[in-house]
Amino acid sequence: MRVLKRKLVRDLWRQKIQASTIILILACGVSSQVTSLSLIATLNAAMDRYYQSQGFPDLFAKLQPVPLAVVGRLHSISGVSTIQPRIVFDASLQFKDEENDAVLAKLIGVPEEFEANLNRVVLRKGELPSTLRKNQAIVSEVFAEARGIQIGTTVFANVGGHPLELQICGIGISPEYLFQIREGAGVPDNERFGLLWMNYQDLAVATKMEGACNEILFDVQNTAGQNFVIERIKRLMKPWGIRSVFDRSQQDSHRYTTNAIRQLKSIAVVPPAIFLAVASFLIYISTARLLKTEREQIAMLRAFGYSVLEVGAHYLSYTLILVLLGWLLGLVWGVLLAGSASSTYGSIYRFPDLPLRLDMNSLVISIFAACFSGLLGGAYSVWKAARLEPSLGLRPEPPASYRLTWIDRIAFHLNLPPLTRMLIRGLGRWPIRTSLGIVGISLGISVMILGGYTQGAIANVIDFEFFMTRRYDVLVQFVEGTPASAAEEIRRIPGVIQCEAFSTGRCNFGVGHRQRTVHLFGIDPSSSMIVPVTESMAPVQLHGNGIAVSSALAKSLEIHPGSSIELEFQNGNHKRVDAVAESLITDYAGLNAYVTQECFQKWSGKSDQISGVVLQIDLEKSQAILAELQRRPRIVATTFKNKSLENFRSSEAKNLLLFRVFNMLFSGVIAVGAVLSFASISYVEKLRDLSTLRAIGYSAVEVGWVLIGELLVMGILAIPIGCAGGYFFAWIATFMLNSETQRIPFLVDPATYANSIFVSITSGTAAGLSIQLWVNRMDFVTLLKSKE
Amino acid sequence: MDLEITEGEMLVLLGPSGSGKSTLLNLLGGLDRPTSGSLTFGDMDLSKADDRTLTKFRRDRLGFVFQSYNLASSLTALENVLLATDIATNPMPAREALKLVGMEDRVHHFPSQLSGGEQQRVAIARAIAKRPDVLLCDEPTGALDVETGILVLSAIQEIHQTFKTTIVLITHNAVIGGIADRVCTMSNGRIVGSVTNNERLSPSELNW
Repeated sequence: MRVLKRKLVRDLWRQKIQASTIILILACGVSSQVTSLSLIATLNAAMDRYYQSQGFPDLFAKLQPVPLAVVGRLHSISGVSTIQPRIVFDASLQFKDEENDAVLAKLIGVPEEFEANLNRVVLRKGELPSTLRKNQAIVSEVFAEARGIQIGTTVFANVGGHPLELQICGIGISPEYLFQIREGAGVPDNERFGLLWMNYQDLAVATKMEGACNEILFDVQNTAGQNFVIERIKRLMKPWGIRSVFDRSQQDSHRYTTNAIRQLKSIAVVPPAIFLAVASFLIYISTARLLKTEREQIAMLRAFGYSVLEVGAHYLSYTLILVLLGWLLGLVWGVLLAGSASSTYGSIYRFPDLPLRLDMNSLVISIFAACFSGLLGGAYSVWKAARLEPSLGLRPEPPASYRLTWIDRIAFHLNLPPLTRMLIRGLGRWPIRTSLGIVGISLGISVMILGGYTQGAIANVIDFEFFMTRRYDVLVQFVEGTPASAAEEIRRIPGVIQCEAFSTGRCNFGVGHRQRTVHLFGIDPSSSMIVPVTESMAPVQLHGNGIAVSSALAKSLEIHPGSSIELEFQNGNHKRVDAVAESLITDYAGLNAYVTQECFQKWSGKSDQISGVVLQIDLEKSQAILAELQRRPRIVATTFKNKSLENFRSSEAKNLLLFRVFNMLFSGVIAVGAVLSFASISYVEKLRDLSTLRAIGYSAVEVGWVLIGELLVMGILAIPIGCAGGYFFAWIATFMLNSETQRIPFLVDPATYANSIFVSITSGTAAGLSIQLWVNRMDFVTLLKSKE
Repeated sequence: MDLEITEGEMLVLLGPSGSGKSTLLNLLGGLDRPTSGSLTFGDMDLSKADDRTLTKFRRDRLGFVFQSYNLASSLTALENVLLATDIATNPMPAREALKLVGMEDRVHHFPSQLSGGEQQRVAIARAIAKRPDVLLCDEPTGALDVETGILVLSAIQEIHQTFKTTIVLITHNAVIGGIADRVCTMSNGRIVGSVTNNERLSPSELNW
């Protein structure tokens, strides 16, 4: 058997092009599976550890100011194990010696007597605020990095109209801001939103909430009973005014993080399945080819007394070695990729540490998947060959049989030259192999389209969010309870061209037993700066008491135009309103709904109050306008759309670059791999014909046409199939990636198709040139005498 | 080795395996170049010709017949002949070539539907269809039984007589030498004997 092993090694070496293509494609499949499963394991383990060690709460209550003395009563609720009151207050920030910029921060302070058991900050640098020194703060890490904040930096905060000078004493992270995003914002903006943890007393003085709190965090003994606890909290706190009480599933950072993990799960399934399917096809044609050329050797082995099993095992080990090498390469590649991807994730999701954890299950799953794909491709041919009767195998194989078909009638009519007829018949002679080849090339195009679609979708979201529905230059947010007259004042600032007021607030939407927390916007029905659009991208007409709800919300709550919705405002007075869904709108982040501002004010019970204004300004005067806005104490945040857009684009570009490179690599490997494997097999099969053609006077280029023409025909057929496949994959991706927190539009633009076709033509041309090179170097004189 | 083949001559090269027959045929057919010495076809120096020139030489001047037929299995008999006529400057109609070898009734058959002798006759038709100056036959009867071999040799002789085509035929079967104008015997890469037949036999008179 040692000789057989040596033969195996030589067979592999002889088929090195096909073998390496198969190994590479298997490696792509295994690596994408290992990467995503390991990332899921890494993120889940790090999240569990982080939540456990720093006490991420089970429940969150946002309240109107409540005396701390009352908070102790909450311990009486059965099932509550830990309570932590705190003050959380939005403030606008300014930095010393820095150009004016609009920055919003959440200031957080926990009373000393309620030791910070929940959401404990992990100090990355510096020290905790001293009780002996006033107004020190710890700044959140991503915000500090984005703005270059150092220990010792002085920050000026506008806390509800009261100026507060804060000294940065430390840089930290907290589990509740694992993913730092401003409430209600679709995308993170680390440069313009940050967190500052400070001593309770300093914050209480600045916010005039001494001896009180406006948020309470809870740990419960048994999460199964948390709905009961929520109800009890609401009942006990009702006299003080509840804004909202919710569990982890409604907490922004947790939702975004778990959603990212969920998306990874879909990546662990779809791409590996595609790669392993292609590998199966390549193993099938490569094994079939090998066994065909070794027909006589197989018969000889059988004649010498080797059993069917021994011969079968010998050839099956050819497949298994490919599988093993592909798996090993994929494993190494996957671990390296997971390492690089986990550091990318680590820069977005801030954990105390993010050690790469290899998911042992992924190793088992991937080896099983790879073996399955190998056996699927190789087993049948091997079994068929091993059972070959020695007497039949020792006879030369008769020439491949052909029959005249309808294709030939067309060929006659078109008067096609014999070489073209040869290539057409070659394709028609092995329809399964040809179809699989076309599928292989198509998959390359489809994967490319999928990648292009994802990039295009992000561009579409940017276009939609920043230009189609948000047509303003500046968004100005006020502290709660700001009168509508504030809009008039801002309208008069020089440089402001247009100013529109809006109201917004969190609302509980209920339809039957289904409930969702929704951002409700009250806007001017004739607004030209906030323009919600329908699913067909037409501006929504708001009138009367009708609500326009996002399609995602409509899907979650099973709302249709005309459905009744019960609204409960989470603004302290918990006013309940019965409303009717009037139309469905498109949006891509969060769950949103729109009504007229008049209606919002009436329903919320806060008539003549607004949440903010949107402005269209003379951009040349933006600095002067910002300075004017920052002088006004009731403004908590000023967001310049172009700066947010710039920030979003640069962070997305960084994240997408890696994705783009791998996508190009993966789809290239599939397309070129499928083409070259098919071509190499076709080449080996036709060697004798090609040599004869060269001998009777055909040039190398004319002979090359027989092979290149085959690929051309397959490529032409593969393009529409690949485009359809890409469209289907994009649909699957939209379906799997869409969630209540984020959605991507299902829109594959023509440029994506064009790019993918262009890349596949380029890889096809490269493959064609390689094939021509094989033909040029073909030793046709020796091959002429080879047996059929 | 010194060998001159005259126009219209039918030469049989005889010799055992390894005697150099095939190497000589490859050189004559422009499939290979000599490492030393000279090789000319008329005024053309084939020993210094590049690949493009040799391809053109094969295309315009030569016809090949191989021992194992070398027909394209995906083309019918007619299409196999068209392979040659398509690139020739003054070919005969493909059907006429097939008629010359008695294959006019099998034009739409694929090689897998033909016997060995029929396949070889199609190969001869393919070789002669472009009206080559020289027809090179490498063991044309090597894979055939006697009866079929005679049929194939008759076809070759017919071509020679009708078109006065120069024919070089290599074989290890000495009997076949009887149909030639001249028989050269090769051994160890050299011509060790040359016999001119005063009287040529017809293939049916051969006995092997």
